[in-house]
This record gives sequence, C-alpha cells and structure tokens, in this order.
Amino acid sequence: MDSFKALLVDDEEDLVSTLVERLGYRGIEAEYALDGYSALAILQEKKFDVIVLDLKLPGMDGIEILEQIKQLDPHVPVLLITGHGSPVEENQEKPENAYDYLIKPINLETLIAKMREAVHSK
Amino acid sequence: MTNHSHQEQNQDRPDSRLSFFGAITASISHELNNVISIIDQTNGLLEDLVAANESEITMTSDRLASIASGIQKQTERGLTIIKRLNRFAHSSDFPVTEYNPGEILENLCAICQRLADMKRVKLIFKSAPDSDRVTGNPFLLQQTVFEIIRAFLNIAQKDNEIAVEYLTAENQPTIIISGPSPETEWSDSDTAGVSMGIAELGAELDIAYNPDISRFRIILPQNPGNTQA
Repeated sequence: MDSFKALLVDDEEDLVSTLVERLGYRGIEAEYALDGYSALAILQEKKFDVIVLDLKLPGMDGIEILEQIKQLDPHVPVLLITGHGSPVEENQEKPENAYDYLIKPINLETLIAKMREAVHSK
Repeated sequence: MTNHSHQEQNQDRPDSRLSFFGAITASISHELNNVISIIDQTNGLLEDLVAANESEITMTSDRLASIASGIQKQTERGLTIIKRLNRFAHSSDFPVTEYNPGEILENLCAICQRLADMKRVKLIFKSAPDSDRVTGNPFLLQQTVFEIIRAFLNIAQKDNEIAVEYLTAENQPTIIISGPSPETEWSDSDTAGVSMGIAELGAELDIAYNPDISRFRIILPQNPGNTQA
C-alpha cells in the first residue's frame, strides 16, 4: 500500500482523533489540529501530502484557512469537509484552491480513496 | 398605523421569522451531524479493533470501556441537542401563553452556544431562581433576543463576552443583554429586527452605549396585550 502523510483539521476532537487512529491501522500517517491557528502552526514546521479541512471551524473559517495553507504550501491538495445542505453542496462547486470536498458523515474508505487520488494528482 | 404599513410589516414578518428559524436549525443540524459522525467513526473503530484482535492488536477491556464511554457521551450530547430543539420548536405552539422567560432564554442561549463558539465568544446566561412568569409570545421573545445576540456576534472579537440576564427589576420582568460595542452607536439598520420584535411584544427597549460595552434592556409587559394575538 502506498503511504502518505495527512493533516486533519476539525474542531470535534473525538471525531478527528478516531479518524487518525483508524487511518493509522491502514498504514496512513495522520495528525490532527482542532482549529485553523493550530493547523497553520503545524504546517510551519511539517509537510503533509494532503490536508483534510472542515469548513466550519471556530475563529478562522475554512475558506480563510485554505487561503493561508496555500500561501504556506501552494502544492498541497486540500479536501474540504462540509455538512449536508451547505452552500458548497448546494452549488456543487468547490471553492478555488480546494482539490475536492466531502460531505459529513464521512465514509472512511471514501475518504482514503479521495486522499489517495489527491496525493497522486500533485 | 395605516393598512398599508400593516401590510408592509406583515410582508416583513415571514422573512425575519424564517431567517431566525433557519439560523437556529442550521446550527443544530450541523451539531447533530457531528454527533452522528463521531458515533459512526467510533463504531468503525470498534470494527477495526475486533478485526485486528484476530490478528496482531490486543483489545483490552479498558480500551473497550473507553470506546463505550465515548459512544455514551455522544448519545447523551445528541439527546440534549434534540431536547433543546424540541423545546424551541414547541415555543411556537401558542401566540400567547404563560411562560418563564428565564427557562426559554436559557434554552435559546444553549442553542446559540455553537454560534458563539464559532466566533470564540463567551455567551453566558443568568437568571434569578424565582424569576417571574409572564404572559406573551415566547417564540417572539426568543427571536427578538436572538437578533440582539446576532448583532453582538456580528461585531464581536475573539474572547468577547455576551451576557443574557433575566431578572425582576422594580417589579418588572426585565431582560438585559450586554456585549461588545460597535465603533459608533447602534444604527437603526443594526437593530431593525429588534425594534420590530419589541413593538410586537408590547415591550420597552432601552439601549445604553459606551465604547466598551453596550446594554440592551428589555422590559416585558406584566400582562401584555400582545399585538400578535
């Protein structure tokens, strides 16, 4: 299995910590951040192959974080996570700079397939 | 008031009420979605561990207990959210009823907590234990108070505080909502939804502005002739 490093950004710690553990069992090295500020701090020090970013976060919202991530690392693919009925889903249009988006609740295998696709798109 | 202005007001009402209802239910549904996502992933983790246990990873009873506790925590969180949503939905059952504004506003603040968290703002509620019951429209009161909370949230910075308090002052049921001030005094457009709600509640509104903090004081009528009735 090809391996890659992922950063997950979501303010629901029970969710991201479980996802990180489950990804680990599948050979994917993942870390998490609970808000945009922490994510950007981690990205100052480490490189990731793909970032999974919830659009609704406390403080800085997902779109603002996305722009700052792209300033730090223009080539890293970013997958956005959004809820049912959100403007992103309604418009069926991903924001500029995002690789794609997924709808919560996320199926793990779908997430892995999408992350792998994003990593190989670079 | 002329018939024309009545018509204009009636045209305005559905939008503001739907906007209020939409803002509340969107926030609640997002939070419920998170609860379901966590339970879904925790269930997946359990399946992973069961599968792994047949090979190399040992699943201890402590680990199992921790996972069960996580599911229980999220189930209770989900039930609390649903209970609050249910109480909110039933507040629109009667246009005029006897109710405790303290209970209604405590529920509203709990529902609005996520909106405040998104802005990293502290939202607190206080009520005297023996606060007065009133007769009126609880849904309209929530909408009016929500418009004030929303106005504060629109200008709030990280770590600001918004406080909602229900008390009896000079024998009158009173609600005080305080929060950060805009750079200049509140404009009519900032508080348009508030003024309309106050008029319909038959209440009085007093806005105290200073550069650091603003206070909206709503005095509810003791025995209101609610104009919606």
